[in-house]
Amino acid sequence: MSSILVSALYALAALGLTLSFKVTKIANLAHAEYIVIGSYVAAYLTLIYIDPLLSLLVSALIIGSIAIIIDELFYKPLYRRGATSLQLFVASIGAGLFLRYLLSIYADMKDLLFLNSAYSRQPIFYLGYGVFTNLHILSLSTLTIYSFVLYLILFRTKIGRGIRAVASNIELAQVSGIPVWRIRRLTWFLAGAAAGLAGGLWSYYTSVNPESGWRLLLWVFASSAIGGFTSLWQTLLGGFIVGFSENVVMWGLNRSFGIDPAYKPLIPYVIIVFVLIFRRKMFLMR
Amino acid sequence: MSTVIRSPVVIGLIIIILILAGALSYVLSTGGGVQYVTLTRPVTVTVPGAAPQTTIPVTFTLPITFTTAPPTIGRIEYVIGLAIAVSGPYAVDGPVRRDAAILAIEHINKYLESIGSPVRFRYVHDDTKGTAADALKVIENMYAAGIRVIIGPLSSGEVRGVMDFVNTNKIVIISPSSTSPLLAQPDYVFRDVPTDLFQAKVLAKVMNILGIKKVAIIARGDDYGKGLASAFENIFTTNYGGIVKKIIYTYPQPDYAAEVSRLSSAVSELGADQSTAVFIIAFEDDGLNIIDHARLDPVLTKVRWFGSETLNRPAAYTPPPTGKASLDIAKFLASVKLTGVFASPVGSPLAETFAKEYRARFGRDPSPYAYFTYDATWLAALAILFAGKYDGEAVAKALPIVASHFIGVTGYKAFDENGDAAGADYIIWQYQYNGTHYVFAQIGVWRYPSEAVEFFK
Amino acid sequence: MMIDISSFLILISSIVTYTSIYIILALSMNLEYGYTGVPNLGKVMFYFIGGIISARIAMMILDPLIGIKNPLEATAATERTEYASTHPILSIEIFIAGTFLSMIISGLFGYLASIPALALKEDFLALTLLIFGEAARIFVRTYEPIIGGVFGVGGIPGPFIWISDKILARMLYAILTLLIAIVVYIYIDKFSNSPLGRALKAVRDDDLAASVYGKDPSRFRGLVLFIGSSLAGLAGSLYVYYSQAIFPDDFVPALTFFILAMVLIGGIANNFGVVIGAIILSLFERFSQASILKIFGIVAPFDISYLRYMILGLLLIIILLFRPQGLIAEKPVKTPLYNIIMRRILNRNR
Repeated sequence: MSSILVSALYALAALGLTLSFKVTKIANLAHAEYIVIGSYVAAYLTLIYIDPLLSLLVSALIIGSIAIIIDELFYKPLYRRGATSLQLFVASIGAGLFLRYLLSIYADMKDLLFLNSAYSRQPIFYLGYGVFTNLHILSLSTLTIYSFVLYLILFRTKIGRGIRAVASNIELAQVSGIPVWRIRRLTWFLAGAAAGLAGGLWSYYTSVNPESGWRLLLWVFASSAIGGFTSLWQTLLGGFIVGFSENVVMWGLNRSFGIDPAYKPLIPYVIIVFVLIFRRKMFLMR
Repeated sequence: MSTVIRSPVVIGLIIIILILAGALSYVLSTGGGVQYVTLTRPVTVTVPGAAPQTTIPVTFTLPITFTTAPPTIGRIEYVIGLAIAVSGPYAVDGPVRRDAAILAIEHINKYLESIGSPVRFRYVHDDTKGTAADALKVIENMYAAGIRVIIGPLSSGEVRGVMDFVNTNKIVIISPSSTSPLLAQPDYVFRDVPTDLFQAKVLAKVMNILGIKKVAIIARGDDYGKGLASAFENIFTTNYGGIVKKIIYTYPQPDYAAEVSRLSSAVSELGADQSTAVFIIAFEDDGLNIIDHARLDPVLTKVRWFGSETLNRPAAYTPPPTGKASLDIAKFLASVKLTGVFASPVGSPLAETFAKEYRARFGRDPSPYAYFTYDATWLAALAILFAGKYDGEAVAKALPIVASHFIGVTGYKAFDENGDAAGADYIIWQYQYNGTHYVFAQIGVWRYPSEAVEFFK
Repeated sequence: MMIDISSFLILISSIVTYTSIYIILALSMNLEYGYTGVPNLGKVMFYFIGGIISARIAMMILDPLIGIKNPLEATAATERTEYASTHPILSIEIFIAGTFLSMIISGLFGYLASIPALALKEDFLALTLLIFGEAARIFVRTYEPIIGGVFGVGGIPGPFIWISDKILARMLYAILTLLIAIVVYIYIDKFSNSPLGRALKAVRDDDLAASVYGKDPSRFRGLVLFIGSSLAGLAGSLYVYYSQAIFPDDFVPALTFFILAMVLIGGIANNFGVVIGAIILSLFERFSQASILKIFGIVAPFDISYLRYMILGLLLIIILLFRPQGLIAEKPVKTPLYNIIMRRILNRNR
């Protein structure tokens, strides 16, 4: 049951990651930091009695803006100088480190090294060993709304078409007069917003600390990998596959093969490896 | 030979020469600590009868002894190193413990100043990141800076990593929280907290008295969690014939819902009744996550819960105004009567004063191990004062003497022959609602060495 | 400034040892990434394997001799240390055996890792290797029979453990690692300034063109990953024999990023630059610790640890932005023939 909730959050964060990769071709490791900053913002806002829904929205807005700022400061200049995708990846590592420890310094000074939001999870009904809570409703609806909004933007607006054009062939898009930089900013905003929402919901689910984003990132990356980092639908599905495999697969392995559940963190790794083998077309050079 | 090969070879040779030069001077300097310096002074000599006065330079050769710490007049300063991790696995509790050490030094300096003593203590803190390699680097750096008395490292793994170095170089380290019984041996490593064996022993006895026969343990997969879980399982099954199921979870992970459902099925298998209990061994972030999942589970709410001493943290588990937990968690913990033990003398005014001053100074509550860190720092300072000199060997000899006559905020601090805490009284605490607040109430005590358990009314 | 000579020497030995280890790692990374374009972000895994093999060799040789029942206890570590101190030849044998076996086995693993890695695009390749590394670490951390899981193992004797003057032992070890690093440098330099090195660069820059000229990219990548991982294993072995203990949590991806930073800062495909990069970052790491700064009388009013990582992150980005080729730029491959020709040209111009 918790798998549903966790899957929704992975899917949400992964949508952002896949989107940013599709359009900018940057594997953004700093996405982890976007998530955890989103957690902190949302949790903090709920603690000063702001409505959880509003907190989520504010968090999405703030993280979206941060994503744009990081791009303008770090990624775009590199990109304009012709950096390779690996160099951009390394830059994202640097940005991630910078953000994470900036947050740590702030958290240490304000004694917020672990933070609980004021959101109260209440059970709605029980099913077997699991419980369905109000957070389930909130998460699933957030995921649905975001996906729907994303769909509308991408497929029903002019700028959305621009995004898809840039994603498929940026030079051609540029030549066709599409405002590439504006699209880039919009993409980062949407990706950051997804991270902010996912992070905020995560802080409603459990306590967070500056390292939470980094720990989550692995599962999120696995979800994006299932989507081949290009297909948004499959990324969404990926989130659920990863989320369920966490519990179900582990449970199954434990029952049939007696594998110690302490190996659970290896599951996303295995998933990524499998995906890379079977979806090799996506990742091959040329 | 191309130039590209030559340069780093040259650099390497220069470094080797430097090292050899250093070695030479070291060997010479240890050959007595006495060196000879030549001074030249012009001496005026008046030759009677001769017109010009001639000055003749005369050379003197003086022996000068080098000491490592030239005494400064009026003030003696000793430095205590704090090798305390504040990142990685200790990102949350590390700073809390470090601050307790800082508070101890501030208190000690205040007392020294008030009695007009010329002695003061200073501290240097560095982050060991909770790993053995970095702990070793930190200790090496501190050693190079002349520090010979260090508080920390926090975890048993780190202690193991630095043990060899500190024993070889005669550095005293007092760890306030590495509890692995595997580290027990007589050396320069001291621990002012009793090992897991003790806590396990006390908790097993308490559980037995309260009628618990079956226990499902859920523990952190690090040296602390695994160690305590095994120790408890051992004692509970051997001494009291109980049944134990162990669930160890890998730390760190973002979420432990899967482990909690396994816990739930384990409890169901044992039978969710009054003679079954859950024993949770966790720090704050994983503990809160697990408890928050458990409170929604119908099976886990039916049994009693017990926790390791790290659960006794009001700032994490009580609701506002005393802490940051949600009301749901508070209600759950009160309903399952979360119980545990903590090494500290009952109703100790020292402990209360410490908690109050800590809160006033840092704006948050001290965690259980912060108390031990505070005591460890006091022991270190007292041992230095007692030894009268800042020398690893002397302080190591002084420590057991000082400790056996010391009562700290965590009670008796006498060491056994391995330099580990010989024993302590343990408070039995329980999470309760006292009508107005949720508190960790003291419901009893386990006394050392009689091992008698007494519950309060 | 209040230091006494012996602790100063220990500090210098420590810095030299760590720097030599970093140099070896950085050179191996440069060979793989700088010359051949294979971003081995799983480097820490091969470093770890080297360490594991060395530790296991020591344990497998010593424990039966001493009769240790529980290899995880602190007393076991002390017993190993004491036994090794009285058997100098054995300690040296353990060191040599451990080091060689580490190199071979790490190299083999590197070659194995090259097989699936060959077909992937560069950033996915990086990611895959990164993931392998972390997965391996988590596995070893959980499965205790290898090196005691999360507890780790202590008492792995170094080759100079029998020397009674501990400071001398440390200095000798520092010199040993430095010499090994120099040998590695000479080897890598010869390797890369040869037709083989030129072929690697060709594979890096355009492997389609390279294969047209008969250079098989996958063979080269396999070779390079074998050598690079073997060197990483050597470094891991040197590390374990220095700290005389091994813990899984020391081998995290952050270490790989650190090495990568050395290569980027020092200069891609420039071995001398990479050595400089390794020295700079190693010194930065050491001297940005609070306890060292105290020697120079610098005391900061807040906890420096976080600031250090922030600076590292910024440094990575700044280098990439303003000097992506590194401090010392890539130079043409100086094969022996090239040297001869250059000399002739210069002579003719005189």
